[in-house]
Amino acid sequence: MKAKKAFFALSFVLMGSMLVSACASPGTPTESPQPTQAQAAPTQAQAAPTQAQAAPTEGAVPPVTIVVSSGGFGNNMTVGIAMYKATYPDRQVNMIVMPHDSMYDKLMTQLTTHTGGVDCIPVEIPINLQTMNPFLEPLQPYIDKSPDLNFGQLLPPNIPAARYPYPDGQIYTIPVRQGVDLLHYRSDLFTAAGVQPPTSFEDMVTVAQKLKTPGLYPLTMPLKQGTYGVNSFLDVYHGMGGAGILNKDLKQAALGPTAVKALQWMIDAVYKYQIVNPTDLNSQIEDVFTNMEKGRAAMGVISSGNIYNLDPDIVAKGGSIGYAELPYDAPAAGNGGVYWAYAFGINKDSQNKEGCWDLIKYLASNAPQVQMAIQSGNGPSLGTVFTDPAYLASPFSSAAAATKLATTYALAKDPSPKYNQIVDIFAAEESSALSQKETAQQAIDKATSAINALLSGS
Amino acid sequence: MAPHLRSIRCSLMHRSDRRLSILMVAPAIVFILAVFILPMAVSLQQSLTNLNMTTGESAAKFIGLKNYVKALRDPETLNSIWVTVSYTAVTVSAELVLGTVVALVLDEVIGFQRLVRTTIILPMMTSSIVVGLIWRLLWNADYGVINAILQEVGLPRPFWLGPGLAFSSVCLTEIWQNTPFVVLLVLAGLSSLPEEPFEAAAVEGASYLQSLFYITLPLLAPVFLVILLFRTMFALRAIEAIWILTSGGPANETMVYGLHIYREAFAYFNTGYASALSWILLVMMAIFTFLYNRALQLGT
Repeated sequence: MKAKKAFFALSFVLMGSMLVSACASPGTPTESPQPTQAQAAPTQAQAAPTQAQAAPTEGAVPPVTIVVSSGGFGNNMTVGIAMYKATYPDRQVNMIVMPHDSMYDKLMTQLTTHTGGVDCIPVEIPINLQTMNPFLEPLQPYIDKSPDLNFGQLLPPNIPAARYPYPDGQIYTIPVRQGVDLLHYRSDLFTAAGVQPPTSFEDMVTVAQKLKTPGLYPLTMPLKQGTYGVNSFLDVYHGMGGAGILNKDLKQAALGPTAVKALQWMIDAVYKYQIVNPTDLNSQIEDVFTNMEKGRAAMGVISSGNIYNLDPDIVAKGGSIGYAELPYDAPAAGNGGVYWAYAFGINKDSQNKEGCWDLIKYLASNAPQVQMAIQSGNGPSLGTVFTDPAYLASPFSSAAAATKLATTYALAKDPSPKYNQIVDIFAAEESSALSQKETAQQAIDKATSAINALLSGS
Repeated sequence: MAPHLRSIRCSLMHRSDRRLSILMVAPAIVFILAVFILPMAVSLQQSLTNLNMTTGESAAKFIGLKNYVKALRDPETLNSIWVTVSYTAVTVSAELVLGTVVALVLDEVIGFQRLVRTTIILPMMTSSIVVGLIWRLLWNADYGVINAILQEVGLPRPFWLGPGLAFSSVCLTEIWQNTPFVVLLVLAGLSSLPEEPFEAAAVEGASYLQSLFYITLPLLAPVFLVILLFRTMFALRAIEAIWILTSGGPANETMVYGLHIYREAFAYFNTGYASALSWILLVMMAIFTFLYNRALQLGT
């Protein structure tokens, strides 16, 4: 009897403590400890902002919590945030790093459940702004009281992308990092083979076949089923005159003969011309970097915002990387591939909106943009960076000319709230065609049908 | 004390014991309700709506069983069910056979038993994400260790994670990780077998194989059923390693049901639909559990 009571008492204590701890910590899915300083008390600046925010505010300054993704984005913003802290030593910034692949999912879970303590929200524009905008502050009032921020100096694709609805709605985000797609090529191998960077898709095949040697695939592209595979398709599709997967009103798929031609070219690149390694069917962007770094490929279709280093042994033998615009055929007038950008918005639930505005405005200003580009290869969102002497003197400026040109022609992803689903539908059909389970025409037809069914709600 | 007073006193003591018992288990019941029953009830309710987290609960409408009908008509869902059932059948069968063989061998090992057993269970102790990352490198067609060894011995280098082979590769990865679980359970079963049948068989002149097939394996039948039950439940829910290896590709060859639910819930935020998909999975698992339990009862 006594043992029975003792057992029940112990289970009571254990279960009770579990229950209490479960209630006491609602748990946020953030990856860093929450700021310990109270954020509830508004500063004077939050109450009635009337002057430019460049100078430090008086009194206690609550910390700002900002999320960045792992990889390049996080590395770039670390530079900018370090500069911010050095410039304003009294301002605290709590930077949370989330894995890149799951950052959108985790942020949306936080935003929709209002459980986060994040002030500055990273948004991939324009696509993720379609779903994140209800949770963000409109920024026009902040821009109006900040004469030190010139929104018009952003590179052209950023200006409509930062708005909801795209392209001329309210401004919800300030872009800080941008990418377009370039052709990265081994300039030493090109010189040795006596070829120039290809300007058309036919030229690409000719050049690639001249570069082919055992152990070296001329062209590497990320073709794994998913976002990167679809981006690779869009690079070819845009270069052949295609626009988006959807038509302009975003209500129907716009994949016609050009899409079939683009997908067929990709299939032929793998199996007919054999200029792309079949194993790229499982390549992610990191594999493409590895292929270029280790000298396994002579050309790669890579975003301008991604930087990697050639293997030192290859550099010692004269290896070097050049950058060129992607090839294109008429009716396209140029090919910048897929435009993407990361921007920051202010969380509507933030207790420190002014602090967040100070920070993101700073990250979008010239000096940090130049340093983020020089120190960590950030793709600048600001046009003035490309003429800055410090940037032009840095190694990263070798891609500057190609990047500026590509920015002119790059096309944004379709700003549809269902973009993720559309990409997954297309990715499966693209992968099926690249695996030779169906023809390019069949893949495009099936994708069109499934996308239209999704958009019509059936 | 008078007998009738004694019995009243006993009855009062029993009642207070009962109240005390209920009070003591109350936190556990509340915990189970809060963590298990209540979320399931909410999930069931959501599965009958068109809830999308980006538009919020205020925009959600009751749609009855439409999510379930949509799921059972959706080619992607049906494909993922087929892939999952195939994956489960292949991996569970292979793990059971391989795990039993390894356990029988280990049972005969005399020296270094602890070292061998600890090494054997290492894959099971490794996180599925890490397993996926390791095997992604191993399976790499260009610079993976497996193809490097094959090249050294003059064999062709397959594209392990490519079309036609990706399914087998993810199955092998799962088998590598989870066979130790089977080994452990079978070893435990072997150590609890009675000795008398084996002694009798030895006296009758039965060979090792005859003892194995007519005594050992039949006696281990309840253990096998428990293994089948657990491994089936876990295999039906597999996601992590497959996500790292192939993301469900190429061409949805490895798109398992769990990944499909994950995408609907956390990439598209179709919470209502994802809840319906989850309940379909629960029903599938309940059917398997019922069948295994019946087999177990019939066996005993």
